[in-house]
Amino acid sequence: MTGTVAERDAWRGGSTLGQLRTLTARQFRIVYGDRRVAFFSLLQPVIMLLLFSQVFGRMANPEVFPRGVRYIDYLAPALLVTTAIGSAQGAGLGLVRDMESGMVVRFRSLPVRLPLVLVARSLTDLVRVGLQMLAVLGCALLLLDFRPDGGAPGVLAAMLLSLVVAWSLIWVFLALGAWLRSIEVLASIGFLAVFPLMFASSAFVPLELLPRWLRIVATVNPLTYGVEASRELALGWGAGATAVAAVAASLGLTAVMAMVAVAGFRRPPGEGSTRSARRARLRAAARQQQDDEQQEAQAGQQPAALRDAPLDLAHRLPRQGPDEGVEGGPHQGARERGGKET
Amino acid sequence: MNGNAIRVRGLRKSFGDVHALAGIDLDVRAGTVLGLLGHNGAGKTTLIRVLATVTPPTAGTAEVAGFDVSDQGLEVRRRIGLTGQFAALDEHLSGFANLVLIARLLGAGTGEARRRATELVEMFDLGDAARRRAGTYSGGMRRRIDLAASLVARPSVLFLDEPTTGLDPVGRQVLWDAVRKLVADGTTVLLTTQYLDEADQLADRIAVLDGGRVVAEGTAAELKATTGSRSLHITLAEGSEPGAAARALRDAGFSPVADGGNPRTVVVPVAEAADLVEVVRALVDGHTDIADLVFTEPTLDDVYMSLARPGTRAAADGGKSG
Repeated sequence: MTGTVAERDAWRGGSTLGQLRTLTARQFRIVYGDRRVAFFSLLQPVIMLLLFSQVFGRMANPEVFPRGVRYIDYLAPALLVTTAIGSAQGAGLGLVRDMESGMVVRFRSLPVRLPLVLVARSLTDLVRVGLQMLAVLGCALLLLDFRPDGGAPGVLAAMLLSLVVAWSLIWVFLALGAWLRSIEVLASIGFLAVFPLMFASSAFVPLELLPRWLRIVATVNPLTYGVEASRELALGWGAGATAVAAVAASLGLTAVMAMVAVAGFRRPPGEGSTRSARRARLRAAARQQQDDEQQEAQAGQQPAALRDAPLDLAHRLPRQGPDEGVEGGPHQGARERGGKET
Repeated sequence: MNGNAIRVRGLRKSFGDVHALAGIDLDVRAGTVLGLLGHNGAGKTTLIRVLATVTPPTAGTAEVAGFDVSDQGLEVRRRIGLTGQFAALDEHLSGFANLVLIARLLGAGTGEARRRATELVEMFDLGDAARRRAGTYSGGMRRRIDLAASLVARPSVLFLDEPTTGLDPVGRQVLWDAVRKLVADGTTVLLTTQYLDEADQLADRIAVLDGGRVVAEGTAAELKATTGSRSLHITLAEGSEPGAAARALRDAGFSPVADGGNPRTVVVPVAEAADLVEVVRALVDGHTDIADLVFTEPTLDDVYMSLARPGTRAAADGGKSG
């Protein structure tokens, strides 16, 4: 087998950059492979923009807004940031789906650098967020008369800042996905996180208009600062101190969450430390045991006549030590089967 | 490569207080096929996952292709292929694109990757279907692409976890042929299966796994020999009572067993063909009418039933004390 050995030595795992490129290309095909999904994911933030600007726009008295800005100018920069939350949640869900499909098990058995799977995912979703932001901006500029005082450079800066914020949010959800490993749990956390984070902030109305308790919540909501920073840049307010702080905070969050996510992702399958994973395993074990008992009951019905007869079945016993064997029976088997194949 | 491609010593894997592997010792010679037999939950998948470095062991050592699974995981991963129980494919990509993806991850250039994918598509006779999205595949198609995917790297050790579960007879045959060809080229294969004919057909040696331990190991012939004997399958005529027949046989010094499938059949292990006469005499003396009588060599089924099914043990216990 000399010839085959030479061939076998050929592919021993690609370079980091090569693997990242391949994995990112794969994610792109997943996200954009279906044009309908791509279309609706672009439509979503645009709908938000249209609804909010039209529903609240008429009511919005310019005098309650800082510096008397029009509502669309107040709203559009904020939507750049809030759009990121939905996509970030999507990144987490996509990761869990990948892990459930068995594809990740395959990656684990290949010479693939596992963190790259997460990086590829985050880059793909970052591009998606970017496209959504462009859709929001395009719609605001073309249809809704968005005329920010910051001009093109201001809007561009706001978008870059929003992308940095979005990246950190993506990593938060990748970390959640990697540790929780459950679409259901992640989806419910997502719902709980998305709406309060979005509305208990200065994204849609100034903090001063919120009830006192909500204003306190909004003040501690990190998204408020992302929104404010984006607004400052787009509308040309201030020197960008908030923006610098927001970028620094986002990059710090990204670094921490990336480490958490990679640690969670590296944990082998079937070893969730979370209680829900453990409960799921126990449930699976119980189900299996039930199945076994049913099967035995069914099997037992047929040869009843022989079972009752004093047959010598001893020779069918496995040759095993005295400490195990007969007494173990189906229960022992069920216990052992608990942890596997999850 | 000489010697053992897989070497396992005292391997344990626990999930909390669940001991999926309770101390495994196993050797697989390079270029041979080891069949792992066992019921669901015996630890087959866990063992494969530990050996494929998907899951770390709790204790003990395992070497695959000369490298330790705990310390040299990357080296192991460079030399193995894994086909799991649940086909691990990217459903959004075509079968062909799945194969290209893996080749690219392994470091192949675009051209090489496509050539290798084409080769595998031909090898498994996948044809035009390989261009469809994997999400649309039938079970058999998925299995074949999945096996092809584990072969992209031309692994020297291949792990197949119940590779033919859910396949139709033709699909099984195709897969078996593929495995035989790989072994002829020097690949070592560790195969788990619940199908005994599969182990009989493919495996050089067989290990029976139960409760996370190897309870028996050997060639198919050796294992069949451990069930002791050839046996007589006696189907009783209407009106004859199986219990009475069993008692008569026991009195004559035989050890009759119930046949799982047919309540009217008694199985009698015998040492030699001449015992046939004694068995028939015992039955005739016991006023039992015989409808049919078949003389059989032991099958792997007998081995499996006797060693790897906790249910059988419980039933056996009931029979013995009752």
